[in-house]
Amino acid sequence: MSLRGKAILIFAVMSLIYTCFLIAFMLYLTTTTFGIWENREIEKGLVIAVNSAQSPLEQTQAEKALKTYRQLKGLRNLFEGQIIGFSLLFGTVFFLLSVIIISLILFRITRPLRELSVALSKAGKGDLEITISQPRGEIGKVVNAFNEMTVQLKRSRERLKQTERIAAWRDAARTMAHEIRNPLTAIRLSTERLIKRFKNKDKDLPKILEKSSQMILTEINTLQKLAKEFSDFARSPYPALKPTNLNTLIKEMITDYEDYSKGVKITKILDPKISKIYLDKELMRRVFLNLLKNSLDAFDNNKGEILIKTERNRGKVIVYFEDNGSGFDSENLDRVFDPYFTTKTKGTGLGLAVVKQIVNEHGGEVIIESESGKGTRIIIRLPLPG
Amino acid sequence: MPLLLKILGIKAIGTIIGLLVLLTKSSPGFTPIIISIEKDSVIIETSLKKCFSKGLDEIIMSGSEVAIFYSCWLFEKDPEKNVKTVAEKSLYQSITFYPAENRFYVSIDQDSLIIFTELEQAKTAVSSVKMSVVPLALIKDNNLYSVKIDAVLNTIEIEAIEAKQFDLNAFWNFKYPRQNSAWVKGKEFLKR
Repeated sequence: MSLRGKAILIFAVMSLIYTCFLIAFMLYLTTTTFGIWENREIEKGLVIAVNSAQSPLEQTQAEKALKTYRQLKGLRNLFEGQIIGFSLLFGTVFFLLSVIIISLILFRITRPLRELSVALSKAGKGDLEITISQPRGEIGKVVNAFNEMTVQLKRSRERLKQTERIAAWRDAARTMAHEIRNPLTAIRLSTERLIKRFKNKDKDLPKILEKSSQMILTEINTLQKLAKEFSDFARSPYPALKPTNLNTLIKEMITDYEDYSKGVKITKILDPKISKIYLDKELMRRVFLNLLKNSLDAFDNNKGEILIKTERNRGKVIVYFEDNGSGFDSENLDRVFDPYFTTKTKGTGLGLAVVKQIVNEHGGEVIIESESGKGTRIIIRLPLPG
Repeated sequence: MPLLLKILGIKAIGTIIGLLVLLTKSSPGFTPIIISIEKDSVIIETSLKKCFSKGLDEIIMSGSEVAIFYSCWLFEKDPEKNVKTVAEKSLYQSITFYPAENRFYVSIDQDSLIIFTELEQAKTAVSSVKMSVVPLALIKDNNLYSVKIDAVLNTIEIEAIEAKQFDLNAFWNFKYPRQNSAWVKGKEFLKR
């Protein structure tokens, strides 16, 4: 029950008790005041006085006394009933007026509290734009404190965003610098070697030229690939959704990368009941490819097992991607989907970040379960049409 | 106390309280009006029910005259739906107790006096109404006729209260009993 409801109920009960006391008190007063009319002996005495009057004057006086006594006795009966009626009427009116007045007062008091409650709820969900008009009194002070708090929180949030942006850029810059440095070093060394051999007129120059050129081209390819990865991540892919057979897509991906996964046992448990779902085929292909690559990277000497399972459950399609590789340490699990985070010696750290981005763009979600030394399980939930 | 009695005697408060009392106990009313013909006159008969409370009984027993004034109207409606009052009659019936004699004297229309030894019999007599309203000759075949009756109590003197006068209708919470009969064709009257 709300505060207002409780207050009205308490007040109503008190009014009722008051009315009952009032009626009881009035009846008590009546009984006490008119107690004389409970005494039958008095009436009997008056009747006897009338009957045994010795003279007409005596009889007249006795009759007058009896008359007055009985008249007032009759009025007393009327009085009692009307006291009760009057008390009920007064009590009802008092009760109704009190309830109306207390409701109005409580409404005025609780309205700012309700607004505050709604505002706190919104602020809790992240909406810090809300402000409340400030009433007077103690509640006004609370509201004022709330408004100041939201302003401070907004400022803190802005500062935090700024700090996070800077940190993210630093991470990206650090990763990019690291990834670029290695190929550039290789290119530089090869070029310097070529120049030296050329100056020395080395007889093996053609052979060395061919070998060094190959190395330079390989490193250029690596740099191009790196640039593409960063570029692809920066450009938010908007999926072009088309009805696609998920199981077929997974099978095709595994077939295409058979050569890279030799030595690894890949088990597929694909639910045939899954009909076509809306996917961007190329983007989802990239997702499964990234997951496959991650799993392969987690194995020693390319020896391991991968299980890929699809199933339909509660209006969603679920894809399980499990391996028995090295797994992640528990302290890193929270960060595996962060861009540029990697535990590998090589790599941009964008693989799982891309997976999460693409799955989210499809209206799905991705969860990771992993234990160091035991393996990793990625669970992708995608919505079914309709 | 006298002031409170005076207040309770005020009609307005009594009416309001009467509305409340109405919820808890029934108020006085007439039985259905019986219309008959006797000696070429239209006679109406009815009686008041629940008109005497304990308090009013005590007023009777005090020796004060408790009187009921009955007023009766006969309405006529012609085929053009014009309504007019054909007859208007009033009746005064009272009950007075004499403590010395221990008897109840019931006066019917100030014409006759009936003596009772029992209060209940006296009350029944004073609350029964039978009166001739109009000669039969005035009843027209094709017109419609309806009877209305109401009752009012009298005012008594009470020495003990300041105002001296007390309206006994307070015992009825100022709800004056009233009864209307259904519209009946003149032919029906003539058949009876």
